[in-house]
Amino acid sequence: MNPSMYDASYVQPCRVRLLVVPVGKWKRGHFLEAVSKLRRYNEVRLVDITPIDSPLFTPQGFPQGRIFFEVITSGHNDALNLFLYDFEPFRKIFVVVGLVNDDSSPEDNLKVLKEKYPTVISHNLIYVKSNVNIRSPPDSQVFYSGNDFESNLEPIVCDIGRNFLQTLSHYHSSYKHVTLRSPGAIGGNAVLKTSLTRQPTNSNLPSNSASSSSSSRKTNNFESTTNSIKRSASLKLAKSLSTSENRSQLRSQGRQHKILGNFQLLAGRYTDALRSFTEAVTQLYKIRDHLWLASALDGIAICFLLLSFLNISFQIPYIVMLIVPIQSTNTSVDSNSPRNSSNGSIKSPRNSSSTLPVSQDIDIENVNLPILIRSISDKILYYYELSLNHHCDYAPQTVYSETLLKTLTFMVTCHSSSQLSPPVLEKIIKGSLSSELGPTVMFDGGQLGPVDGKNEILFSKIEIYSFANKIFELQLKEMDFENQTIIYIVLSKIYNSLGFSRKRLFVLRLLLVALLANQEKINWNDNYREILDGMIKLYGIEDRTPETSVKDSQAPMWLNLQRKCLQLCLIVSKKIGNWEGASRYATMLLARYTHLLTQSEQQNLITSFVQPSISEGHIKSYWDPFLLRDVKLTRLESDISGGELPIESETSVLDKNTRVNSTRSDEVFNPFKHLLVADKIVSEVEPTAQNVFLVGDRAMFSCMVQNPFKFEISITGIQFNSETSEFCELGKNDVSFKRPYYVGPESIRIINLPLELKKATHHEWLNIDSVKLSVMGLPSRDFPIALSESHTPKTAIDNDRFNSGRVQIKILPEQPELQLLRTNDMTDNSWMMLHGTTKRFTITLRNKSLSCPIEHLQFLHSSNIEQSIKSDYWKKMQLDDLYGLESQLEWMKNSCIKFLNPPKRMEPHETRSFDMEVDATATPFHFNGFELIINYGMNSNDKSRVYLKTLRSSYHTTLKRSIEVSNIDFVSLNQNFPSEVDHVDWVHHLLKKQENDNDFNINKYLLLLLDVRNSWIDGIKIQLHYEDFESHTYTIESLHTTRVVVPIKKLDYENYNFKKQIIPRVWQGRQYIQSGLNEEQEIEMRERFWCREHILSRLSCNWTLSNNPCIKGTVNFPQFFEKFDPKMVFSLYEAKLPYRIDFSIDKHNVTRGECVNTLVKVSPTSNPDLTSSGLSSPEKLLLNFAIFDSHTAKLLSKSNRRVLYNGTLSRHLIVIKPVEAQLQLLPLEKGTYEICVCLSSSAPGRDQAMQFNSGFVTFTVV
Amino acid sequence: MPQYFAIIGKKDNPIYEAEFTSQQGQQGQLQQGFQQNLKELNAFILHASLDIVEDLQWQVNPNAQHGKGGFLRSKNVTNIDNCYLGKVDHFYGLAITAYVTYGGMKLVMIHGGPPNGNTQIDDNMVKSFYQEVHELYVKTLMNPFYRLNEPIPSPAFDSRVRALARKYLNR
Repeated sequence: MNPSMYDASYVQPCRVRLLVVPVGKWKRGHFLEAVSKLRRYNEVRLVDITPIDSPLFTPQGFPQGRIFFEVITSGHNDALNLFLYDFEPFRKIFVVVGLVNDDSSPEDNLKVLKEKYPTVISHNLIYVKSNVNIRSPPDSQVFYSGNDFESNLEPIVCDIGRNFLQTLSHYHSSYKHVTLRSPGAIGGNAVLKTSLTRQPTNSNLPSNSASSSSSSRKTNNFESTTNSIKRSASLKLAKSLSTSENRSQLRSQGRQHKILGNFQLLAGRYTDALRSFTEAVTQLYKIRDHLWLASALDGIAICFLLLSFLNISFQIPYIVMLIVPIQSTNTSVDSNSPRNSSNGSIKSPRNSSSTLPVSQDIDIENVNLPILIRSISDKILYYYELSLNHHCDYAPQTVYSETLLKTLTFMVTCHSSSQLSPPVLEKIIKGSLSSELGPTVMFDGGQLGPVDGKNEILFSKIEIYSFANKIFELQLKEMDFENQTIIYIVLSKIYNSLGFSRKRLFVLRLLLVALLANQEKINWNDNYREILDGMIKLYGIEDRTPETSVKDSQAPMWLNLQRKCLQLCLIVSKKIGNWEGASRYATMLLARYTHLLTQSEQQNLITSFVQPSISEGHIKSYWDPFLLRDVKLTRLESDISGGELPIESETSVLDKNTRVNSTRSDEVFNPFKHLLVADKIVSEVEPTAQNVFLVGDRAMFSCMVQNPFKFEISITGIQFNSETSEFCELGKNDVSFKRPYYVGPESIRIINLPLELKKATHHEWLNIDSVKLSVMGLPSRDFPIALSESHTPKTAIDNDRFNSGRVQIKILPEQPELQLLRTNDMTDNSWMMLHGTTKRFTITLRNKSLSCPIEHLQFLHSSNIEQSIKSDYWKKMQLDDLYGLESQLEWMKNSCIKFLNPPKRMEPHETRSFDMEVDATATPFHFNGFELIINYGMNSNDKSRVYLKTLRSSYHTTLKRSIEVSNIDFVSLNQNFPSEVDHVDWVHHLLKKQENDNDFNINKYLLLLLDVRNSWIDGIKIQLHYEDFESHTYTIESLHTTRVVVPIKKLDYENYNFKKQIIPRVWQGRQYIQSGLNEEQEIEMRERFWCREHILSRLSCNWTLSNNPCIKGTVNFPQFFEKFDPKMVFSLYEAKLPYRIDFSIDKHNVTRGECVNTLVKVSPTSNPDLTSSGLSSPEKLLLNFAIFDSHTAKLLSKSNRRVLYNGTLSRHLIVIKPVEAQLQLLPLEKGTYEICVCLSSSAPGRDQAMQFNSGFVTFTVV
Repeated sequence: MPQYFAIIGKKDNPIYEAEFTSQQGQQGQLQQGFQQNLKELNAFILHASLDIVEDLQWQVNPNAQHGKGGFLRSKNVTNIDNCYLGKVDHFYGLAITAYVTYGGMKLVMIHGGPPNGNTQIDDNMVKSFYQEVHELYVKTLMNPFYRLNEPIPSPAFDSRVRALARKYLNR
């Protein structure tokens, strides 16, 4: 079946059906080609045909006439039409032509043809390839075309036409004496009676007052029209139809005329046919044989058209004008637009029927033929409807529907012109409706009403449409499906011509549904494919790609409609065996309409369509582009040590000259934080930096796959694309067609696979943005990573529905591995040591790698002290404390742990040893260990990068206290020592000084008393040094304390001007806003600080264990010395005093009654700051003498009887330059006395002692 | 008598669809909705009739018998009568009425009828129904969160339309 072949030409009854059958061995293509050639010559002019001797059908009778052959290659259902042959003989196949392409015998072939087609009246044979080119005799049924098939075809067809006419005359003569019966009478129930959904011709229906049914209105118009005619006609005819014999005679005569007319139409004798039909109408009208009357009217209309086509003038019979009253164009004074006139043609009869000229034929020129034809058709339908009341003479539905269709075709063909122009006529007679899909040439009529007369149109779209809609008043379902098919196909063509694409789709859909319902009877043909494709296109399904375009996905569509249409197409495709199409529709449904499909629908799709299509290879790739949602590569914790990832950096970081950018903006400066190489690395860290791997690493590849469908999908293969697989590969995995990964319905699954890293990318990042996946056994293809949904349309991207993701990985080359083999003299990396001692260890390292040398090695350490410091430790510290802390830290950094001759490079599998020295001299007591950090690495192949790794090893120390200084004190000296005590070390030292120095003054020295404690469990021998002083060796028992005395020379202002010396800073670069101290406090702090520093820098102490002299150490005094208090500073630092008081006595040993003279010299010190106030306004000072009893240390009262004095004990002084004061004493009692002087301010209310003389002056009275 | 009602946007996309079945008939018996196969077909019927609606929309005088004008008569007519196109189409026993808003939205309804026989349409009632739905639609349009040509998901709209259907159509 070829759907495009069907049409419903209005002049179908004038066409002679000619069946072409292949005889011999034809190939389909060749045969169809020959048939199409034959079709080109399907029109035979009667003038070309040799006359025959039948007066009724001889071509001579009407040489202008034509025979139209309708060349068909498949026989219609004979059984179906059998009952119609008497009524509409043109349905019969009259001619059969055998196309022969071999040399078989013509007689045999003819015999076979006649046997096979007994009902066909004319049998012919055309020998196509016969070498003998015999001119066939005039009466022959066998023709030879020779080699040139086409050129000889025309005379052959003429001869076939002649044969046909001859046989037709015989055929007709057989009808002459037959009583013609209606199809219903012959076939009985086998002929489907027309069944209308509305009540046919029930004229007394209440006239639907509120109803808006336009068609029923029209029918009502017909009814009223025809009723009025019926009344007038019946009055006239009543007399002539008195008896029933008369009636039956008339009926049979009329029917005979009608069938004769049909035969004459076929034979091309159109004027004769018109005459016969007119006769038939006249007779049948009288007896109201509606069925045959309508058919005869139909014949008349066809004759009109054919005669117009042949340009032969004719007159419209009066009876036609009577039945179908119409205004002739010249009598019409109605200036309405023609469109109204079409309505008017229906309305007018009541007005015009009475005014119509009586019994007069009208020239065709005076009538608008198309409108007449349309009116006749309306009438025909009306009579058919009337016939339905009859028990046997009723109109079969096929006849009724075909009349509808052909009228429609006619209306569509001449819709837009006001008259029948020759081209339009030609189209009506020969052509058929365009079967092209899609909007064809639209006619302009009906869009906007015609304004001027020239563009008048005959039938508006709506008019045609409402006519077309009459078909849906029939119960089409009850019809034979073949007829249904024809109806739908013709309707679709009509709608197409009207530009009603949606209507057309609707009809096509009905067609497909109807076909599916009757599928077992149908030999499906590939030609349906174009219908399906057209439907897909017209419903806008094909152009819509929501899976790749955001714009499409947001565009509103009638998705449900599209889905249903697709489902229908899918089923039809499957039926016609178009698996390719079926798979296309199935994938479209799945990819674009998943959300509208139920689970069972999806299941059905997958099992009935998709899976078979996949196995047949019709579906080439997976339909859902969003399969892959995410990809992750994870490094597995490797049990092989050495899986540590190196840090990659530019080679320049190893260059020591490079300025280290160690301050990060977010971190407070901390100089003691260890500067690791890692800190120097200019970080090129990207968010994906964790995706760094080593060649040969164990890693895991995870991909997240999504299944949005309501069925399970299987992943049957996972691979990297070629670019990626150069560097890494998925390890052995079982994913295959036989062992797939199943992803459950509407779920997301993560598939983990081992990953093999094959080749280093070095410092390049490798992008992975797609993975090759094979789904359900389909060939694998790249799926991009659809990370998230995108809502904004983007251009220049294939698919803008998702934001694509990517994973960046870096694969570093194989790395060396350093191993700390052992540290000698140590168990578990822990040991105990005495504070103040040093210890040395030997460390053995090995490069474990067999292939990579270690090209860089760096040794660092980090102790718990440094680690415990907060980054802002310095913020609230005084300067002096800070110095103390920082200098200790600096020492920790530089001197605490030393590496002696560490290796610079290690070859593969090389073992090296080196020494490490730990010095616990100045470590804080809470030091308990440190971490050894070895940064090592190798260069990349091109030397542009270096890969660094770190090896860390912890050491734990238990620090035991050895020698401590629990207390210190200063004692000033004021008298010389006798030489008997020379054995005491410090006395010995002083005496020695005295000997060597003439200016020796005992007052310039003082003693530092140190309480030294041995906290260790063994005795310790210590020895102290202070400048050139060297103490004896003291042995201190365990947990005992010994006081060690150290003579110290006092500091004087001339040599040590502390107040101008600022406290140094170990680390520059910090910003101190202010210390919070005023100037005096600042100076005091500086003096205290420098005094302490002075002592500390000179004082040292070595010790050895008394039982093991090998163990020795030093004492770190800064840890034991508190800050000096003012008294200490006062005793140590002379420059503090504003005045210098020299107090001397002439005799130290006197007898009673002997005079003693004392002399006090007071002079301002050269310290300008202290006396500056005195210079500007010299202060009055009070000098007081005080005499004590040396033994009791009691002050003698001013008037006593033990020592008499001459003068007063208080003097007023103004000290600008040195001043002297004398006092003469006369002791009366024996004893030892001490005298001192005191300067105090004389200002009222400020009676305070300012300064005493340094040291007491003693004299003894005997 | 059941009805299938839809508002169709400019790209033949339904922005609202509803099927009205009268819950209680006059005689007290429960009335049926569309048959299942018709339900499937309704969308197609409605879609197909859009061709006719579009054609009628631009007629000066589409249906002279009805005395109703097409869209183009609006300049002479002050009320919104001209939006209502009346019965535009039929398919077997089903009648299809249509109403076009000035914005070009098509309000189309399939009127189901008795199993055999013609569907009777009370033009005045149907017109009132359409006019009120039009009003509701205009109100929806004024919602700043509603974008033209997109489906109307509002349950309030739905319930009001259904109430109107009860009021005018299924009495």
